[in-house]
Amino acid sequence: MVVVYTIYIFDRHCECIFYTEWNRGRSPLSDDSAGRPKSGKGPANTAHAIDRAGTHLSGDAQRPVVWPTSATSTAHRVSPESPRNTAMEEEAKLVYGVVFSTRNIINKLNAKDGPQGGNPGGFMSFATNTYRLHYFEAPTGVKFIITTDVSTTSMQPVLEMIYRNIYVEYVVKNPLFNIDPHVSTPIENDYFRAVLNNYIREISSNTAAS
Amino acid sequence: MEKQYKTIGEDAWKNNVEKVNAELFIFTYGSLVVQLVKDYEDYAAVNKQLDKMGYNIGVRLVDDIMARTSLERCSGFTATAEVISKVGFKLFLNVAPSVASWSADGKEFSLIVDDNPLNDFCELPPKAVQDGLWYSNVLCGVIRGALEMMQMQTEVEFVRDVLRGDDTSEIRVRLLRMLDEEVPASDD
Amino acid sequence: MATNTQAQTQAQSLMKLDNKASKRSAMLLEQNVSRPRRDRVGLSAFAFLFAEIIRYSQNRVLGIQELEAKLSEVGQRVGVRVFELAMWREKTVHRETRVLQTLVFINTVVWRVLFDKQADSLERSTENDDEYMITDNEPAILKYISVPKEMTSFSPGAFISGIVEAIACCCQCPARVTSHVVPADGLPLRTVILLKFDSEVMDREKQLEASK
Repeated sequence: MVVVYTIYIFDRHCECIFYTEWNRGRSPLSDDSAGRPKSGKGPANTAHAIDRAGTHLSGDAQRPVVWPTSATSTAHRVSPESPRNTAMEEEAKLVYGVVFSTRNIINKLNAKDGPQGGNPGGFMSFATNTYRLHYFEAPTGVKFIITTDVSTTSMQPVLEMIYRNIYVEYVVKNPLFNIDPHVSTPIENDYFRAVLNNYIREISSNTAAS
Repeated sequence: MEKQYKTIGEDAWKNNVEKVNAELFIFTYGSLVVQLVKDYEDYAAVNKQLDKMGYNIGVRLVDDIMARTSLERCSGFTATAEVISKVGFKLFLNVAPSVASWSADGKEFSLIVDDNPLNDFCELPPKAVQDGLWYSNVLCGVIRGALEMMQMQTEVEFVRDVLRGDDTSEIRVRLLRMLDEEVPASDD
Repeated sequence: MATNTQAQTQAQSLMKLDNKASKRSAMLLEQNVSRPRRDRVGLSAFAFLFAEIIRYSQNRVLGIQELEAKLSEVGQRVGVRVFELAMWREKTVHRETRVLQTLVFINTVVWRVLFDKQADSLERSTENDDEYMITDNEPAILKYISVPKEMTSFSPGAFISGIVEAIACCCQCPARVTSHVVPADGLPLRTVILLKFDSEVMDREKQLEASK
């Protein structure tokens, strides 16, 4: 059984363009005083009906909070003015710093470092005694990070799946998602959110995946 | 090496790519060019706009190539040229132009596009030829955009085109420099 | 004198150009179009191109309606060509001029040419006699589009309705054609193409019906 806590996606400009969380106790996005209870037994919200990938999206409330959002965001999201936003920004920066330096030192130890970056050293994950962080870097420099429980050792296929079949299909190919290659744009795409959420729920309840 | 990429391209085309009617695609491209000619009334400006749109396509399309294949970043420019032809062109247009005319320093090559689908059904009015319209200029932008995402800054341009009466169509690709990866801005 | 030579060179280069151009024409004339010269290209190639067409149009219009009009315009030029090719390839020599025949032609032949399948349904409006609806449950070419909340009324199928409008016109059945996203369970981009035929078409239909 996989317990997924968080997902971060960073673009080529080192900016977090997508973050979401499932079973995280306290996070910058949740209210500090009333931090949501942490469940050791998988996602707290599996009780909701699973929407099929691509169904018409009305059940916004069934999906976890995502971040960041643009000014046009709706109620379910954290507004850019909120203090929680600043805290989240801070966290994202730190997460990027950690994986970036870790990847770099691994590349260096493998004598594969260079100014063009990339992950030739093959950094895949690290663990603490409470969680494991998994890392996947697309050849184009987009970085996918997922944190899970410690006992889940390989999430590489999952991260690749998210890149190949969810990110590319629903973000890259969506004509209404403005990719200006020189500006970071948060992913505010309903299909992407819905499909990703379903996929994570699916692997969370599927024992074979761990 | 050439063969290896050929296999990757053909495999992905066969098993991993959704397809669409070629004529719908070709007519749609033609309709876009007509729209641009109407809007700009200047062929040089149309060339530029096509290149820009191609660039926007290229920066996205490269992720699609990587997602459909298990390619890694190319180790050198020679390999890059093969991938553009045998995988890139193959996955989107189902053709594989040949790579030719390498410069001595290995930083420039040509793609000979003998069979350019965009050209099907197309004949340029003499005025467009005279004023220098490169009908398929979008392809240059695509290549430039895609390579930039792989940290390569390039110049890409058409040098010959059958639509302009040349014997074949040729795209010249020139590597200007390798781009460094961006590093996070420091707080202090 | 100098200008004379200049004019001469210009004329020469134009002639050269002309020769080159006629070479291309000859090549095109030799092409056999009765069967498609090539079969398929990648759906992504279309999707990326379409994305740029949307983006380009978006930057040149003020609202959703204008954006749809632009996309329809791009579609219309496609429609005219698709019509010519489809007529050429169908063995029938006559043109459909009756409304129902035209609709069936679009629903089956045109859809097959464009999307390799028939449309999912063809219905007459229960409210208005001159309105018909062609429904595609999952238009492949719109597959990757996720319409953001601030654009909910936008129907990317305007491109398809443009194609249909041009074809209806080529069939002597001019109509105003619009596209609407009508999601159904599991089919977020289910698209209804609504044809409202011009009054002259409906009058002609009545006459033809009466003279039977």
